[in-house]
Amino acid sequence: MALLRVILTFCTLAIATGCGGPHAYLHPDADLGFYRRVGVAQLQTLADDPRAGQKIQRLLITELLKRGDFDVVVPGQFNKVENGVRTELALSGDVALDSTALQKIGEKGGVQGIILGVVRDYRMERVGQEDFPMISFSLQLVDAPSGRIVWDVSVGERGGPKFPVLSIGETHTLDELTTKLCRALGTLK
Amino acid sequence: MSGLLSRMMFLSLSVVVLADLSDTRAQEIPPIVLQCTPRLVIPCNRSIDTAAIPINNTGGCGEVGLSYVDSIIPGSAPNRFTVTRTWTASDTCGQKQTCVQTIQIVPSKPRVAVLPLENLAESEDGARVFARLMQDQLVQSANLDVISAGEVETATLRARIRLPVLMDNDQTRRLRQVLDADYFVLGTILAYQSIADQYSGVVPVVGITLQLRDAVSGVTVWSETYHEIGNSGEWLFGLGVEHDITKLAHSIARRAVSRLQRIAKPLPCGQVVP
Repeated sequence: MALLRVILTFCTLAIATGCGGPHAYLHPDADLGFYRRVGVAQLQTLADDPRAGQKIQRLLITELLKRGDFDVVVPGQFNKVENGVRTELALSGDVALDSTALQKIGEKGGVQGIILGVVRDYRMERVGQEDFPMISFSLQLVDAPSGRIVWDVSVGERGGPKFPVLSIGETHTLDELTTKLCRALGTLK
Repeated sequence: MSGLLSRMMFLSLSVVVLADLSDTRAQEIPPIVLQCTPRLVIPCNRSIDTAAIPINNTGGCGEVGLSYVDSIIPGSAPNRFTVTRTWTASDTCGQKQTCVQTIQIVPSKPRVAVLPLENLAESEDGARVFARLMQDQLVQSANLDVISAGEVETATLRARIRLPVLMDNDQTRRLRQVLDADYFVLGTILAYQSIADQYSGVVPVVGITLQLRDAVSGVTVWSETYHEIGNSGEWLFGLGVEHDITKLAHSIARRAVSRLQRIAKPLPCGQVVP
């Protein structure tokens, strides 16, 4: 009984502190082993900060490189390919990439998968006497040859205190919270 | 008659003058002067071919040919040895001159360039301050050969690389050739500011992502994110709080460099003697 109580307490704490991790969609037929080399496209920004997409993209690439699930194309090289295809197909930077564009990027960039994303919130929010970061974004891994969504995840969190009075689990800055969210995505392979 | 006499005198004088000139020429063949730097220390992954080593020869007659013979004295390790190079210059008049050069081959240090960082923080100076702190820390490392900030800035400006973190493969290759670098340190400053904390007062915040890119293959060999807040070390009533943003950035640079110097490896020493 005592053991059960300890387990329940840990589970409650884990849920309360957001350790449960985000829920992701994974295509039932997806063969993740196929995606050896991926590129991270420019993230669309719907947040107030126009550079939010760039900031999240840089941190996401760092975390992907650290995790070593994929061989991530150097961002500059991938941007060059993406911009080239956008120019060729007359797609401006804020327009989502369609399957034709994704296929071309895949061929020219030598990648099997492309990570796309949308940033919805990226701001500081007042909680009591202090400001805390608030971030939400979604990411997709798209199969380059077919344009099919292989994996999709949506994350969002506020960096404020998890418990009343106690300042346990607080995150004070936007980039720190972004890193936490990127790490919480979990490993794909 | 007098005309014939004067013509004969002129011819005989010309012969004398020509004979004198040929004697002088035979006596005044300039000797070959051959100068070579007597002692050189070269990292084992750098070229020691003739073009890379300055040698100066003057004088001689006709075309002066240069050749050398190497003799290798093994050292304590495969990448630590000495080459004794004997240079010989010879001309078409049969003159010869030699000079001996000692080339000491030492284990190489990886050449690292800290490229200008991308600034996505609100503060304008954060990226420049942090790049300089990284440079200072790397210079102190005995295992690395750090390319000067001035050289890096000039090279990036000339190559028209506005954002090194977003360099494509061609730009990476070109910059490597200009700087002769083995590794590039790249990164983005995400936060470089001060925030108000209700208990600690105003505290600095620094957030940065750093990468170490192999300049030859273009592969990112190391990548890390650092977030530091001034009051993270506070243990009791303000004790241990860091209020100086530069000191906070400095501590990040120190940690990053301690990782970098373990990862950055010199290029293997292959055939160094041509």
